[in-house]
Amino acid sequence: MSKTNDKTSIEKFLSSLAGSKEVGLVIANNQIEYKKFAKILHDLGFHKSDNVTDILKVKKTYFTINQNTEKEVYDFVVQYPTGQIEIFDKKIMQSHIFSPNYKDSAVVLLVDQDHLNKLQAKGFNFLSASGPAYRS
Amino acid sequence: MNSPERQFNALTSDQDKSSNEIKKTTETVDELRPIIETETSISYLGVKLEKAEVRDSQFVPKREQYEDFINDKEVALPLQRDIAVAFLNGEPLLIEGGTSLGKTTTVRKMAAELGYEVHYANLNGATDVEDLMGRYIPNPHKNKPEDPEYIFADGKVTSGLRQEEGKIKIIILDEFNSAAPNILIRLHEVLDALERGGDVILSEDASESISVNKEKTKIVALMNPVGKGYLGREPLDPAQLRRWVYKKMPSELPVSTFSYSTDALFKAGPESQYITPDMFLKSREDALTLEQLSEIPGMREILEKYKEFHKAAKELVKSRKIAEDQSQPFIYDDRMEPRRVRDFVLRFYNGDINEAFQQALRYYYANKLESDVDRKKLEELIRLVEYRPKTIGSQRRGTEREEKLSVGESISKHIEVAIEKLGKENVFGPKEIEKVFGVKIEDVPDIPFSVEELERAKNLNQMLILRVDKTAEGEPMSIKAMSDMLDKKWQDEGKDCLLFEKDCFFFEIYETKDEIWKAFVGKDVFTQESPRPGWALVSKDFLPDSLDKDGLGQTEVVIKTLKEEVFKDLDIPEEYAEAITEFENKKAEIAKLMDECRSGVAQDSGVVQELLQLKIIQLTRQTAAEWVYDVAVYYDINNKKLFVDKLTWLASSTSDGKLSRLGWFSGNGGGFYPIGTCLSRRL
Repeated sequence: MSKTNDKTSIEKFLSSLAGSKEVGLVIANNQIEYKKFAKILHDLGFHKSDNVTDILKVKKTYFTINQNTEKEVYDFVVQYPTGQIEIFDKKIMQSHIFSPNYKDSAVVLLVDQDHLNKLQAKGFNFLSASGPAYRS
Repeated sequence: MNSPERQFNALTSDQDKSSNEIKKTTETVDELRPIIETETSISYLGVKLEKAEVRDSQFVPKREQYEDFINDKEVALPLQRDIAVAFLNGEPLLIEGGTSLGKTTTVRKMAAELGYEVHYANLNGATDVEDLMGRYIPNPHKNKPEDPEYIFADGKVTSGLRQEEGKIKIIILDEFNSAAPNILIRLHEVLDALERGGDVILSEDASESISVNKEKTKIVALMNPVGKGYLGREPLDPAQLRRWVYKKMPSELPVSTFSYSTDALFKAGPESQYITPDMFLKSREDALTLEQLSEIPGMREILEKYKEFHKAAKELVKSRKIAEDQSQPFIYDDRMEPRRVRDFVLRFYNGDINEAFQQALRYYYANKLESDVDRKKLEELIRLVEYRPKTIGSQRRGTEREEKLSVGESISKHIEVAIEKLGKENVFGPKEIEKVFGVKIEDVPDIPFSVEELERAKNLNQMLILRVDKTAEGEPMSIKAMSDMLDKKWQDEGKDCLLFEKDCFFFEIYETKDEIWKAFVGKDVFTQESPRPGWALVSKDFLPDSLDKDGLGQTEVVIKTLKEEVFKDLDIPEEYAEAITEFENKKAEIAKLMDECRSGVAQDSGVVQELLQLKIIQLTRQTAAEWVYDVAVYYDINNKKLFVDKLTWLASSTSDGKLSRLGWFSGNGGGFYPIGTCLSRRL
């Protein structure tokens, strides 16, 4: 995981994600910063999504995660670099399988530090599973 | 021919060899390619997997996703090879290593190439057994009242287990050591069923049974190391780990791999790395049967060595002398490892039992270790798992062994093969030697010649003889000892004596027979020189083109025979190649010395010593004691004499420094006799 420490460079960080084969991670120190980053993401054309298959529809996507985030987001992040993603829908017991198109695509997770800590403690190691990370 | 070595090697017929020569260049290039794909198969460092017949499925990863996959030689290629071995052997594979190694990507990349479906389950958190094994759900297709309210829907694992015509499926169990205990228990029931080749009983579906087949379903579990920054992982119980072929990979990319991969990504380095032959495994087209396995020469000996190795390796792990820093404990299982090693040998034996065993031990034992230091420790033990044929006087090693009739216990069987090829009158083994000399041979050496060599020996009018260097009393088997022994024995049997009969011309010159011997072979040779022990292929007559030639000319005839008949289309053994090179290098010098002898400048003895020191002479000529031994045995058993009216040059010198020659078996000894050179081959 690489870290970019230039506090003024979140825009540069997000623009560098295009074509990345890993999911980017933006870590906010608090809720105020979290909202600020969400606005920047929106302004830069990132589409907020709740469904991982949305990455097939739009080129720039971001997911917000917290301690209650569904496991499927973690499964998605882990599989994103592997060329194929299988997400299992427990309700209908079916797999959704798709191949990410990395070209010009960018996928970002937005999380605040507190929730990230809780997720890590649960064993969802987003820090390892994601690629480039930005922290203010 | 019953030799398993021969049978398994399926040596190329002579007719095929010319076409093979043409292909050789291409094959050599191909052999160095780490991944070779054909229409129906892919070989990963030599391990060949068949592609699925049906590859059109949403579960099969798309190949274009892996176009920039970097096949580095330290991580990616060995990983693919080891995965291929597990797939080929139908073994569940558990790979532990850091996230940056690309474990899942590698499996999916192979699946994309092979057309295998991937059924992926990440076992980290919130997964329950039903997600994997299936559950009842409201029937989404219910249209009529008689339609069931609920139907059973497969889970991720059951969908991977169900067999479909033409499909091959891989179940990936990611983050395996994050799984809840109840999930691990259920999955291990599945593994047990796969191992048995039986059914998986779905308690989740009113005990429906699913027939499983490890040929059609491959299971790969992946996990990150416990600790080392990976939270929520618990070490697996070593007893559970035994069900898996466990492969320990580094926690991080090795520095050199990182460097190469990074350069490759930026197109800043070479596109490929040099792949060494030792990285390759070569899988057989068809696995051996157990019967064939048991017939492999040296199997019993190497099994004993393997048992010792297993015990020692277990002790090293138990005492933490290896794997001390590994957070995931493991054992070398007494039941599973031997079975895996056996199955590996069945699949990967290619004529060299040592190589097959040692590769198996690297795969199933060394692969569990992370550090290079630990691997080296185990490698020292692995190298001891070796069968050494009891070949006397041979320096030949390696793959050449596989062509030999070398087997301890079945030596009598191999003598039968030799008799089949050469005829009973031309094979003299331990029974014949005991009959002739009364020497009982306790430890019979293996026959160091291949079937093909025996067949050629037949065409060269050769016989196969086992030589011993001691009499029954433990004295040197000298010419004197043989002469004393056989003259008396043969007299009792009504046969002629050894070489010089009473009416022989030489008795006009010498008082006793011993003096005649000493005159021709020298006193020391007569009383002290013994045959070099072991098997030899010996000409019963001299080589036709060797008449009327000097020492160099005779040797050139021998070399020509070796190249054009004995080893034609075969690799010349290293010691013969060295000997020929030495001869070529010294030929001019010896020729010059010969000229000086003819002009009286130099002594004959100098030339003789030069000739006798040549390796080619020592390898291809009988010494005086050997020649006497050989003709004596032949006469004793067959009651036929060799070299009655001719002579052959030997690899011995007389007391006055001349080259020894013998013949006149019961001949008069007077007059002119042709002198030539025989071909007597030892290894």
